[in-house]
Amino acid sequence: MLVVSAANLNAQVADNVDVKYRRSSIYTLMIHEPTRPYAEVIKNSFEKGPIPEKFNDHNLGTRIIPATDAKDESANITAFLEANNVAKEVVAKWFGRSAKGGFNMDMIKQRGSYDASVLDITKAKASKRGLDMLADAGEELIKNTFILVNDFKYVSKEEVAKKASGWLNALGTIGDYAGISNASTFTTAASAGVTVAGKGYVVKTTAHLYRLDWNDEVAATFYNDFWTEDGNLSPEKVKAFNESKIFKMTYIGSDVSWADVQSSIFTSKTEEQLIEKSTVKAVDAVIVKLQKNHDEFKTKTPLFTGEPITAKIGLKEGLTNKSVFTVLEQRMKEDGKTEYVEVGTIKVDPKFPIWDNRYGASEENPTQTADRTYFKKSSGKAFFPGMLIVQKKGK
Amino acid sequence: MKKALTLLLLVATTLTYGQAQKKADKATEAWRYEIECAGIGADGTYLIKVWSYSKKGNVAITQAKKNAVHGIIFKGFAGGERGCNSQKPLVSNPNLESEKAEFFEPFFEEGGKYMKFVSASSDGNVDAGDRMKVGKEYKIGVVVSVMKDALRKDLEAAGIIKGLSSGF
Repeated sequence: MLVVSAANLNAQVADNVDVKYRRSSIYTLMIHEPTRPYAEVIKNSFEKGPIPEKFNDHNLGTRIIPATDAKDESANITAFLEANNVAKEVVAKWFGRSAKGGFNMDMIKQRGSYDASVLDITKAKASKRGLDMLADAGEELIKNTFILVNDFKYVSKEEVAKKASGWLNALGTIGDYAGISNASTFTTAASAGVTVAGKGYVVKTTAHLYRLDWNDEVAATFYNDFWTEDGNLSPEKVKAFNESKIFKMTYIGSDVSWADVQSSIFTSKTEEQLIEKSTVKAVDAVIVKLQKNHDEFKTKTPLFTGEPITAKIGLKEGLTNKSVFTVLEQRMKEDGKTEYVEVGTIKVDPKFPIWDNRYGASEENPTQTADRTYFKKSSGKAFFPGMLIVQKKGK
Repeated sequence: MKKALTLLLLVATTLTYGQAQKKADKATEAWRYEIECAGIGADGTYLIKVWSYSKKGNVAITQAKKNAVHGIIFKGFAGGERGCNSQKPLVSNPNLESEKAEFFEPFFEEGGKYMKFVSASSDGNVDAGDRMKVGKEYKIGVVVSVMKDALRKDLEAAGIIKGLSSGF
C-alpha cells in the first residue's frame, strides 16, 4: 500500500495534499542553429506544432532562441529570457496589455471559466455571484505559467550506422551519440535490421523548464503600481510597468526525451516529412515526461461514480486511451491529520468514447451524449465518489 | 435463463441498496453531522456544506440533504471565510423537535417534505477533499443549497415558529 505526500504524489506520507488541479499555461521556445542539417524544417515544424490540449497556449511572438557554440545552452537560454523581458511579457499577455499600455482581465476570466471543473460550475451556479465566481478564479492560474525551451538534437541513424563497424554496435553508438545512456530502447530498431534503421532519425531534445514567479507580493505591486486601463490611462503607471524589474522566472529543471521515428524501405515519406514528424513526436515525449515528473501537470480529480467508474474529465485534460490513474483515499489518522493512501489504479475504458469537454465541443459535436469518461479497474477494491484520481506515467 | 439472472441481479441490487439506506437512516436518526457555510447562496437560499457520517462509502447525498435541512432548523452555522455570516437556527427551542414530533417525524421521513427545501448543488459530485475515512466509517462533505425563506414560511404556516413580523 502506498501513502503519498503533499510535495510529491508518488512518495510517502501526507498532510495538506493539494487536490485541486489547475490548468497550466505554457510558452514553448526552441534553440535554433541554422547550420544544423534541416534546421529550417525543424524550426517550421516546431512553430506550427500544436500546443497540447491540456495547456493554455501562452506563446509570445518570439519562439526562437539563437544557439551559441556552448555544449550546454542553459546559460544562453537564461540570458535570452532576461534580455527579452520574457517574464514581464508573459504577465503582459495574461492581462491583455494593449499597445497603449492598458490592461484588462478578459484572458484571466476566460481561462478561469475554462479551468473550472463540473463541481466548480455547479457550486458557482448555486451561489449568489453565479458563474462570475469562476472567472475570478482565473487569477489563481497565473502562477501556473511555464516557459519550456527545447534544444533538439537530431541524429541520423544512417550516418551513425555507416560509422559503426556493424549494426549491432551501431545501436549502442546511436545511444551514445544521442546522449541516451540506456541504448536498450533501440531494440525495435535492432530487430528491424539495418535497412529499417537506415532511413530514420533519432531525435533527442533537452527541455529546460522555467516557471513564472507570481505570488501575493508581486500581484499586489502589479495592481497598485502598474494597473491602468485604456479608457483611463495613467502614463505614470505605463512607464512604471515598462521600467519594472520585479517580474522573474525560476528555473525548475531539465528533462531529456527522445523520439525514434521508424521508417522502412517502403516508405513514401520524404526526409523532410520524417523530420517534421519526429519534431512533433519529440515535443510530445517531452510533455509526457513533464507530466510524469512535475505534480503541477498531473491531472487530478475526484471520481464522479465508483460503479461504474467515471470521472468528469476528458479531452480538455488531455485524456487518451492510454491514460492511467492512481486512485487515492483520504484517511484521517489518530492524531487528526489526514493522509492520502493509494487504493488502486484505473485506466480509460476504450469501450466508451472519451468525453469531449473542450471549449466549444458541445456546439461542434451536438450529438455527443457523454458527460463523463469511463474507466476500467486495473487493481484495487471498491471505489467511491470523491476518491481522488491522479494521472500516472505522464499519459 | 438470461431473464432470471437479470431479475436476480435486480433483487440483489435493491436489497443491497435497501440495507445501505437503512444504515444511513440509522445514522441520520442520531443526527450526527457537522454543518458549515460554503459561500453566499442565491437569494432566499443558504449554501452550506454538510459533513455526514456513514459506514458505507456510497451513501451520503440523501442523508446530507436531510441533515442540511435539520441543521438550518436546529443548529445554524458559523460565519467566517467566503463572505459567510453566522446564522442562528430557525428555532430557538432545542427541545422543539421532540415536543413537535408529530410534525417533524413525517417531515424528515424518507421522501418527506424536507426534500422540497433542499437541492444538492454539487450535482452528485463529492470533492476529493470532502471524502475521508475515519476509523471504520466515512465522513463525507456535500455542498447543498437550502431554500431558507421557503422553509421558514412553511414552518410559520405550520405554527412551528412565529413569523418575523409577529413580534411587532
